[in-house]
Amino acid sequence: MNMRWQYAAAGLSLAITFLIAMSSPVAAHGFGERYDLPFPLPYYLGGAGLVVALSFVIMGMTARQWEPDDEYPAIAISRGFVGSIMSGTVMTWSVRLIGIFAFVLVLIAGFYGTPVSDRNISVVIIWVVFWVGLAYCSALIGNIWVLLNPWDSIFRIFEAVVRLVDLGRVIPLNRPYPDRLSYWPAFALFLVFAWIESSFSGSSTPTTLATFVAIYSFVTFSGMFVFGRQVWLRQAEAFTAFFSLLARFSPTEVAVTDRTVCETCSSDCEIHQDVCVDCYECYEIAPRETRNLYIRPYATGLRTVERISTSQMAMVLTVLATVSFDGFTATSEWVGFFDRLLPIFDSFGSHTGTVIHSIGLAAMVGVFVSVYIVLVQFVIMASGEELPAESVARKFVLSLVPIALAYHLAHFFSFLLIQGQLVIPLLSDPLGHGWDLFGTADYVIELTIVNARATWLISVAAIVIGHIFAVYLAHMTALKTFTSNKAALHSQYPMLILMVGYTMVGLWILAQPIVNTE
Amino acid sequence: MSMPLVFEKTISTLAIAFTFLILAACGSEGPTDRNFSIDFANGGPVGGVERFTANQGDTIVIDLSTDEAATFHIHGYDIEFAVEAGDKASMELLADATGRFAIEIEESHQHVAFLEIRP
Repeated sequence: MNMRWQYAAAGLSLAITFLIAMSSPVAAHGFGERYDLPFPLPYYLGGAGLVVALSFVIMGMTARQWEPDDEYPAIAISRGFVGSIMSGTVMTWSVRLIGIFAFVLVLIAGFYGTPVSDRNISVVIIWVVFWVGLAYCSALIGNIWVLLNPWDSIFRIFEAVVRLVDLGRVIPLNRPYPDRLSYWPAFALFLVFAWIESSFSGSSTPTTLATFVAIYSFVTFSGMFVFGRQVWLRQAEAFTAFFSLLARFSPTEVAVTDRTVCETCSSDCEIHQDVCVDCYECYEIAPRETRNLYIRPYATGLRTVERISTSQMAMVLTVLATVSFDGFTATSEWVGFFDRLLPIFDSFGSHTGTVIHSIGLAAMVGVFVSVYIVLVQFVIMASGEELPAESVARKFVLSLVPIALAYHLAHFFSFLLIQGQLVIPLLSDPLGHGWDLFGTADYVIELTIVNARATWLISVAAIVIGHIFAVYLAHMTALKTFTSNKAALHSQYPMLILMVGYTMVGLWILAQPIVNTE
Repeated sequence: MSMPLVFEKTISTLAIAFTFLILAACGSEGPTDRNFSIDFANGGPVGGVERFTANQGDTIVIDLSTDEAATFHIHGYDIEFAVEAGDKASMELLADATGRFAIEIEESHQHVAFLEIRP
């Protein structure tokens, strides 16, 4: 396997991160206080019961033959007057400029604004708008990050300038991207981000955040410069990988309907039945008549599993583990674990909290990966067919994404609605210097905007629906992977146990009394 | 069975289930007055960090007493009360928002109690 590159990339990122670590004794999760009430017992049991019952219902229904069908209903929406405005250059570059603006604002506010985290817009942009808000949008609406990505937009401007002064032949270097690297850089960089979010105690300090953003920008621009913008973005840029993964669940896609166009664009897009879907490089260069924006059913994008690589699989499992870890650290189980480790790691002084959290995160990732790999063995055994474990593991990993997504949405729902309101006063006073640009600087967060009962219902609904999607996806994948339908059905029993187990973990975390870790 | 039918059945099951959940969740007592107290002494709350529970709509009065000058702060509701050493005071609020809110001493960021407002 590509272990050396993985270790090198991860090690380098961690080294850089630790070099600039400034921490305070307060353990933090991203940022922002949470006022959630844990699930009361009826919701927990009701949710759990529904999950199990519906799983059996679906299994029973699919015992009869489902034809694995790669076609799905899709409605084209970018023709016509409104459609062509929405997908035109003015619109796309307006969104790109918003992305660049937010990026610059984060840097300026981070370095020159107040150190008080809830009075500095950089903290809210990163942990509320970006990490939570954009995740919601990517999963529920579409891959808007493709346009908001500031590194992509800024580098495009750089490329245009380079072309203008006719240096195009010399820079960017466009070295070939080593195949063995695959998605490992994105995986490593995302792991660093996950670590910052869950374990690093300086994660809500504006200057620290701005520094990380600056470092990440340097890494990203260098990578794009050396290997080419699109190549780097697709496989090595952590957030493109993360949001694209979530966007596979979303109900929108872009498609180029001309096979010859798909074959001539630079990246290797997956071509299904003469159409390449969600291949943004092709979409940009394709002639108007051959490209379109489509609405499709949810979770459709999670069905194209043929080209998932081992590094992508590692990335998916890391996303799953990360998303669960944040909630897990509020439970008393974790606090007990934490307290037991405290005396052992006392020598780290004020960094002890960070160290123990890091161990927890690493353990969580390790557990997810191990459990999944073991379970894939059972899946193959149950099917009765001889298939290589690594290939089966790669194919089924995407079917777990709806469960992680549902938990992420449930976990952050009220956080988004409450801490998200901070954007209102911060737009008037982004640096916390006492400005009032739009007259909203005195806005006080309205707590009553979200009611606990509504949050509980939406959370349980999300988790149950996520689970249903997961079971459905796994079954469709099984039908494509195994040769007989009977083998496919039998293979799904262990998978079902994994999914029910994973969904229960999410429900359990949401039902735990919240324990403060300070 | 075709996909649309599976989802139809699933959605109907869900709808029935949620109706039950909502029915189970409804029906609570009318708003009442509740009284809690925090006694801060020797660097900590007497009796440990307590969890005060109330229902949405209740009127809550929290009696404060402290042996050193301290500012009590209810998070979320963002209510602050400065109390002198050896003094007593009362915080009153209408519990119109649900959630779990920490009450802490502003100066030391020490948690002294949690206020849980249930729907």
